[in-house]
Amino acid sequence: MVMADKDQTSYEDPNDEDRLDRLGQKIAKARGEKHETGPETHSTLGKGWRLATELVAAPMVAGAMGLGLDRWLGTLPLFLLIGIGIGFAAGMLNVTRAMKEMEPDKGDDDDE
Amino acid sequence: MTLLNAIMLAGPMEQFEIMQIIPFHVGNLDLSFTNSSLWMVIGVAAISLFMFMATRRLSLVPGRTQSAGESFYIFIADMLRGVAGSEGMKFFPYIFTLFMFIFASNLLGLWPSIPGTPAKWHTFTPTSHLIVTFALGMVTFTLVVVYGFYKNGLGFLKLFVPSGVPILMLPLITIIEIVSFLSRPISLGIRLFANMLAGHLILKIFATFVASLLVAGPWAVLSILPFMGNVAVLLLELLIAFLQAYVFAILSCIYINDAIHPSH
Repeated sequence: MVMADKDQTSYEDPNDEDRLDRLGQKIAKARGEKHETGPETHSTLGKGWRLATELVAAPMVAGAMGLGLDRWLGTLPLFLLIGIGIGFAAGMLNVTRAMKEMEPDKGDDDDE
Repeated sequence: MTLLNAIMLAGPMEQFEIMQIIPFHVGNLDLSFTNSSLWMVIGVAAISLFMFMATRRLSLVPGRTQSAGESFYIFIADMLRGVAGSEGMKFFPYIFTLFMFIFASNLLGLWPSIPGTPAKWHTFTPTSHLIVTFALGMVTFTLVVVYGFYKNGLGFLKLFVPSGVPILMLPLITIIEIVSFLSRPISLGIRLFANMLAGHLILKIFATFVASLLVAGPWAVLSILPFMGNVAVLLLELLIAFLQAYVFAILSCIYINDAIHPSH
């Protein structure tokens, strides 16, 4: 059975280890490698939402932490204001990082 | 006409109301099975059914369902490997589950309700509630913190101490880094929740326009305009349902990558 169609196409021989690779190469050649699978398919809308929430979340967290400290220590506006200030700094940091990630030619980055 | 009245009478926020289907209380805790729980169960059932169908009759040349299932697998696997390297692949089950759950919840929530059914059986989008999305964000966050410390020990704290900063600025920068780190689950949660909430609100408001124009005598002709608008918004919502699930998943990958390689 297996021997019979060996000469025609060898893709159906389950014992042939390379058959999938060869098929893959053939498909890739037929497609002309126009289809590059990469996760860099952010849409503009997605980017916008990403940046907006990155900016907003940090002041909220830091502000809430400041408010908690104030409630505990009884120094109401002090740590809330400091917290919001630090939160904005962290928000800007988040946005800068997110922008850097979105850059198309990041090439695995220079960190590490 | 009764359907039109129902559309006009219900406010735009009513679609987000939590309703008990099977009341269940333990002491002060309300553990009732709600419409939100129901749609989570439906989502999980839909994913399970889909993946079961996709893997039922595996063949080398995949059929339609199998190649759909495989393309989901390949999509998530490529994304995770691209962001977190092959070391991150041990988190594949988590990321895949996360993506599929959010995607299914978002998508099924766009399904129209059956007219005339009681409100608690109406279509519901679990991801339109902040607590749900925030909980999902916290799972990622907890995973990152636990795995980060497990893998790197105290070296994980290097994430908060960037190299090459003057010693004088270090305390401030560290605080800012910590706040930035803590804001991650919040921003994950808010983004998904706000997208879903906004989309469903717009759909509902446009639908109300259609209904109120239809009963406005000769002006009924104009009702085609908000209707076309609604069709366009629904198409956009289909895209957003996918996009937000994708964004949530890829950000989880990025954060997991921080746990694997904690140095800025």
